[in-house]
Amino acid sequence: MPFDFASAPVEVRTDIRRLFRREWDRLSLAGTWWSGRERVDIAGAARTARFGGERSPSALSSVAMEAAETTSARPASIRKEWVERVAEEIGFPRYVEIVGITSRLAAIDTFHQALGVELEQLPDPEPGKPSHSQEPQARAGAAWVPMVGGASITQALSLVDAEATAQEDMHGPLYLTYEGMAELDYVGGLSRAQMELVAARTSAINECFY
Amino acid sequence: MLLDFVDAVLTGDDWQRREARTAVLDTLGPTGLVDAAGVVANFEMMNRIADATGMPVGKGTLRRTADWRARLGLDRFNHL
Repeated sequence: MPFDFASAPVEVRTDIRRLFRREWDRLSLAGTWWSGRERVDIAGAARTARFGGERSPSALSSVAMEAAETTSARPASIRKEWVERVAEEIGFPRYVEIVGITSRLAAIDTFHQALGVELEQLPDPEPGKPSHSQEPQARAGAAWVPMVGGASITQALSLVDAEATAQEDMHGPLYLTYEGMAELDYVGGLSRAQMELVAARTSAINECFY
Repeated sequence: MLLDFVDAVLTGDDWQRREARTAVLDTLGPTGLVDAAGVVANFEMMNRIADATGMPVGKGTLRRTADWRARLGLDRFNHL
């Protein structure tokens, strides 16, 4: 079974193992704008860009590949003009779905690295067609991609609802739920102050100015 | 020790990661290590989402932090 963490130096909580399995299921299935085959290929390109290795053969367009590789391995280099150029080729919804896939893969792979565990093999894609589900309430605003409501990190992927949901699903078990972020005196395995220290250092190394 | 852990996870080699992991485990125990790994992982995700979508810092945050951003010279990093 994937994500059993048998070689981890510590027991990994069941909610995290369940979360990662759910994400692997999501990755393998057709999404909103990409098929299961394309989603797994996007993840493969993202992983290769980040860790090296040979590019696997893929039917993805060069722009989609570039988006997967850049959002995975060089996110701090991204500028508005680049996002607009990519969106002109593949559209904002497809770009947002790529961002969702590569950002959650980065979280899962980093968790493995942190515990000294081999990366999980990517899942086999499942057949099926993308839903092409539109988000009629999404609007262009202060951010670089359309979203529902004002520009907010919790709404960042809301142009593709399934990706925003998956982001929120990941956020709780790995850090805090959106509601739980208001609990400044939270104490788990780390105190809230220790969590924020780790978060700030991570963001500084990644040169994330947000 | 936690800062060394983040540095090792994101920029270190296998040996550095092992050393940093052991230090966290010895000091904070298994749940501390899993939680620290989770927070790094979550912000690997969130940083990418913020960068890739051009998420602006909120007006309220800008207002609340204006004084200490000026004192620390952080505004010069506004690259967007």
